[in-house]
Amino acid sequence: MSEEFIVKTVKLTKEYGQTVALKNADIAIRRGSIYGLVGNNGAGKTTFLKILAGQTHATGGSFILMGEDNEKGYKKARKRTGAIIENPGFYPKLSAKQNLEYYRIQRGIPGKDIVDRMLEQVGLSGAAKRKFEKLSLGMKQRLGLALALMGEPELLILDEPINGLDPAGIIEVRNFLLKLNQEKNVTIIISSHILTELQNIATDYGFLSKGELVEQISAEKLREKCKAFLEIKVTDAERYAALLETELLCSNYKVLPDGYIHILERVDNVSDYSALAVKHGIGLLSFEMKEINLENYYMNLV
Amino acid sequence: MIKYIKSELYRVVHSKGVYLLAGICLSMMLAVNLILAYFRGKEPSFAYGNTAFAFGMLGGFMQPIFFLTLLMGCLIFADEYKNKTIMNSIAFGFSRLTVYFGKLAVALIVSVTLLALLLGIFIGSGMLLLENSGTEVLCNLLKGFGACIPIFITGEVAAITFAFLIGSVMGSTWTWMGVFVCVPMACELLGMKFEIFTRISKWLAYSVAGEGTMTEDMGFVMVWMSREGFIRCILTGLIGTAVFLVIGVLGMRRKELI
Repeated sequence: MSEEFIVKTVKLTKEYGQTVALKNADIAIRRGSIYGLVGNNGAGKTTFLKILAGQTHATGGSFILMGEDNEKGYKKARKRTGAIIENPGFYPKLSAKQNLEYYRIQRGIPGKDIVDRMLEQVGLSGAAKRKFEKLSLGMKQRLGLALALMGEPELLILDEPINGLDPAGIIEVRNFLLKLNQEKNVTIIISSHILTELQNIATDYGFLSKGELVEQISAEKLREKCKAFLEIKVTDAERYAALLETELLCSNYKVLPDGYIHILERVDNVSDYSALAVKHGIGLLSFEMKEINLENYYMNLV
Repeated sequence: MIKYIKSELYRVVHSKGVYLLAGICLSMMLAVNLILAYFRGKEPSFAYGNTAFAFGMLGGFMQPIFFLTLLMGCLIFADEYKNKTIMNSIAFGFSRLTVYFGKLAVALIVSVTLLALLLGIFIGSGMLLLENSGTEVLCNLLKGFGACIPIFITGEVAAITFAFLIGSVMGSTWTWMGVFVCVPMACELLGMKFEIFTRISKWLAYSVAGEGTMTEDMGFVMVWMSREGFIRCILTGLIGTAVFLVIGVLGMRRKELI
């Protein structure tokens, strides 16, 4: 199947009694993309992922998963999916290797050696015989990744996959996911509280707040929106703004209270802006190049 | 379903729980025969050093054995919700019903294997160590297990069903005890006043498993020794199993995994 979207939801809704966890969400995830889900606690990220993984049932709306739009089809699609949602679940008394072997048998993945390869890939070869309950949080997370990746899935659903990882581990996982996406065209849906991490890998974003999809945007468009701006504080903002238009022909700016002006175009020519103030005797109180990051962007959205 | 069952069997084989349960049961059963053999050797006139007593005693132990179905159910359920392992199986495309029936199948496979093994060892050691009282006592014992197996299946299906629907081992254990022990006891007590409850209790798994009458010539005779009692055991088991299966299927269909 070569549909453009691997996941497409129409007014997807999930209510737990009186609480609305997801409300009329229209989410479209392109095949081959890395889709970053951004949202604070209770925004509906995990609920959305749980619906995709079949762990909870939607109470409204519908969705298409890998071209399938009914329960029977979803089950087929999920066989080609790898998922870690919330904490990775394993049997505490079985070893890391036995846990993977258990799921290998369950999923009918041929070749016992895949278990050792997966453990090696996530750096757990040395702890293969250690019981799951004895693994550190980071190791458990890695084992979860190994499980999700086993069987070469077309779609990876990762809910907070870097929780508990040390900085080196985070970089390793990031590179690994990028490689998987670029070389094997695996679509990845990833949610993380560490927004800078998402910014490093996501090709598309979905911003959720209070169960609603606030915005869906490609990383490229987001970068455009988040481009750097110049923040100037002057003694006479009104006059300076007028001069910006007449002398520098600048129209993309924003006058803020307390003498602040945000200039959003030609920010490379910073000297022109300072010279303009000096030339007309306007006091220049501060002058700073700023950038909107994912965090600011999300906060501005909600 | 087959893949799920295979993976569960792999887990059972690589976990200690079932071995521990089997070891305890085996030790207790062997201990009975060894103790009887010891006293028989010490005192030739010892009246109980024969298979009639040993096998009869086990035959009268169906109620305690019934409790093992709860233990086995808990062992096989393996705290799926707490460990979040069921989440993986569902995320990999298994339906809730496949998981439910897969667990039931594994519980039954393991239990029947274990029962056959324990019974074989008990009968074998009894034959070797004790005075052989003839094939009739052995047939009675086997008949008793034959009659009670459907009841044991009811207990196991109920244990797995409660575990899946309630989620916690503790909660499901109390529910199981309530349904299988407290309800029959209440019925028996109420039966002293209202006849209808006595009749109801005759169709409740736990009561039937322990039902028997004292006779002058044969001593304590278990319910399955009579044709009517044997059929009642089978029917109680079949009806009970069907009831808990329906509850399980209906409950699992829309079960939320949280």
